[in-house]
This record gives sequence, C-alpha cells and structure tokens, in this order.
Amino acid sequence: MIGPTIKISGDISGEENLAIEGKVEGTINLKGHDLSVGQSGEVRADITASVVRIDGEVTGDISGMEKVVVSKNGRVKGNIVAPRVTLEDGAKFKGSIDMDPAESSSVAAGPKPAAKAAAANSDSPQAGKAAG
Amino acid sequence: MDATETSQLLPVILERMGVEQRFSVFDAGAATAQTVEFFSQFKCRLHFADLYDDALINEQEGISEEELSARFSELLSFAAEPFDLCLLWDLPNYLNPAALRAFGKALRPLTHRRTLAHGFCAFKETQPFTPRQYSVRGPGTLGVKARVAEAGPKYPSTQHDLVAALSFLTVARGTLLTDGRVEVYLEVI
Repeated sequence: MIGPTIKISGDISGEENLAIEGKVEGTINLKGHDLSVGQSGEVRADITASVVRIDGEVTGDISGMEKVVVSKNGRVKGNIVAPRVTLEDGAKFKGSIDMDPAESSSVAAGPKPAAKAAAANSDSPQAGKAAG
Repeated sequence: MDATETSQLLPVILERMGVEQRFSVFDAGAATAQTVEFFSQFKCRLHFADLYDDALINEQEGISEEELSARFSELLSFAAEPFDLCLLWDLPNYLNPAALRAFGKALRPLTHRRTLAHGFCAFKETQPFTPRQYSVRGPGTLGVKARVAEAGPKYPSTQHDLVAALSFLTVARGTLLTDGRVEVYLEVI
C-alpha cells in the first residue's frame, strides 16, 4: 500500500494488488492484478490493471482488463477502456469510456488472439465514416 | 427531484443509428451511473463533456464568438472519433446565440453524415427552464434529477433558433411536451 503521506513520481509495476492512498505521478502497470485508489489518493498516471477501483482522484488513462469502478467519491478525468465500467451515483467523470461487453467473456476465457482484434477493427463501421 | 420521463424520440434515434455494431456517443452533460449502465450492454465509446459544469457557461457573456469557438474546441478535444449520437440534453438553452454558434462550430468536425442528435429546446422563447441533469435509463426512458448547481443564465432556444445556430443539423422530428419543452431529434443535413 502507498500510504497517505507518500508521494511517488515514476513508473510503478508489480505482480500483486496495490492500494494507493497517497500521491502518484507517472505510470502504473499491474497487469493481472487489482488497483484501488483510496479517498485520499491522488493519481496523475496512466493505469493498467485487472480491476481498478477509484475512490479518490485520478487524472490519466485507465485500462481495466476486467473492469473499472468509479465510486461515489471518485473523481476521474481521462479515458477508460474496459469490458465493464461502473459509475456509482455521485461519481465525477470527464472523458471517454470505451466498453465492449463481449470482452468480458473473452477475458474470462483467457488471452485474446491478436488476429481477432485485427479482424474486429477492420469490420468496424467507424472505419467507413468520415468527419463531415 | 429524482424521476424518470418517457422519451418518444430516443428509441427512434437508437433504432435508426443501429446498436448492433460499435458506435460512439457524445454526452454534453455529466457522466451518470444510469447512462453508463444503459450503454454498457453495447460495444461503444461514450464521451462525457460535462459542459454544464464548465466555467465557460458562466463566463460566456463578453467573450467573442471566435474565442468561444476556440474554448469549446478545447473542451471537445478529448474526442477520439466522430460521434454517431450526440446527446445535447437542454444545453443549447444555456448558451447565448454566439456561444451556441461557437458550440456548433466545435461540434461539427466531430460529426459525420449519419450522425444523429437528441435534445430539448423551447416551444416559446419565454420558456422557463428548471436546471436538470439527464441520464439514459432505457431506450425510451430518461432519468431526470434536479441539478445541484445552477447552470447559469438561461437562453431558451426554439427549434428555429437551434438549427439556425447549429446550421449543419436539421430537425427530423419534434415532440411538444406538456411543460413547454420540445424534444427534438436532429440529423446532419
């Protein structure tokens, strides 16, 4: 755990769950593990983790391999990519949320082949749309 | 106040847009649990701008249209892709004519020829607007609750005012509600 008086500037990576109550600036990579940002936590970083739970403040992009939860006390500014995103009543969020409910079943099944991701992008109707 | 209201036009918009394939949504209001929950069943990207909460709404008087346009462009710069659906709610009624035109200029490059929009305008210019926060609870159900903070000066816009300012959009359908609001479904010309 990163306690409320701790300040870290840099890249954090690990093979275990992490709870942040202090200040972190940089990047956080906990693939396969969970991250929680507590109410006193202030994070200015891009985050990658399995489950991300935010009760504090986060500025940065968040990639949740399994899900992202922004609690009623959470304040997030950035972009979230996750199969499942939950915003509790009272949560503050500005940015984009990219959701694919089908990903949640593939996450449960195991790693997704790169070819499937490439095929999904080529089939997207977004590919045929032009700003006008 | 924390209530629901029926939307006659949002189901029409969603059906026309098609939700079977991935789509992109712009929400001019605050991110709500209900809207995220509703759209979580689809493959989509939601963009929440929370423009009601921005200082620009309270500062719009005395700012040139050119600067307003630049500031709206900055506020919308987080958009990762063109929007298929724009949820404008009643935001246009909180923007003076110059600010509404500036908002339109910033929004236009983020739309494409099949973009659809939903919003509320006024039947009459004297229409009073109660500050509300909207959410999507279901295809035909909106959540409505009182906004905690006053959004600022109100500029009720009629359908005519709306399309005059957002010149790249036209009203496909409008429905007069019992309280004098008009629910509108807009499409790109």
